[in-house]
Amino acid sequence: MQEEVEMKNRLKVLRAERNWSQAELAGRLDVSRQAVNAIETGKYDPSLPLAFRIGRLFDMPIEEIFDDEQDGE
Amino acid sequence: MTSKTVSEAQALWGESREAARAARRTRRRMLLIAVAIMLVVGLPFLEGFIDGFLHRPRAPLPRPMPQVAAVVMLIVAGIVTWRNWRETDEMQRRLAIETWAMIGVANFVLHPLLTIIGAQTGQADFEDYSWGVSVMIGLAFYVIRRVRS
Repeated sequence: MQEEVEMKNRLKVLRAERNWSQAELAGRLDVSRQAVNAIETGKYDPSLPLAFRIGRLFDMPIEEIFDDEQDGE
Repeated sequence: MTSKTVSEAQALWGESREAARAARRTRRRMLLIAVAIMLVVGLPFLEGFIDGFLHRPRAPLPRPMPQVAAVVMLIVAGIVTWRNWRETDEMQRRLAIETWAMIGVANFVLHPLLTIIGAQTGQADFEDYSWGVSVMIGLAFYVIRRVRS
């Protein structure tokens, strides 16, 4: 049986680099501020469409933002 | 060295097969919905028809006001839920689905439990409290999850 994979992401860092608040990022992604906070703290994994939206917003591939920590195993 | 040329028709074969499967799935779903509606609406109608045919005494009609009030409440709740659903994002929708699931599971467990307790303690319709308790459990679950996120 496959173990549950914990996802890490760089959303907080990328947001800080652009000096955006959670509310501002939420507005750009068309989600709630609670959703941004939950994603940043790893309490919620975004859907694939939202992950693509995040990737497009930061002009980065998804795997550079989200990491399932499977490398090197 | 070998090479394989894939014609356009071959390349589209997978897409057409997937489209046919999707169409079959849609037809099956529509059929399932139609059968479910037929069962829910059709069976009581059939029962009433048989009762009439056998000249059985008519069941008393339900009191209209509570029935109308319940229908109005259901319609209002449906409209409010639909409007909220459209305005929420995917995380809030997932939380809503989990909350409804929690209410359903709580009721699934509580209903038989309260039925037994009611029978043992001699309290009539004690199991009716299961919905109220389940909704309270669901709301508590929602608040805890909302605060934690």
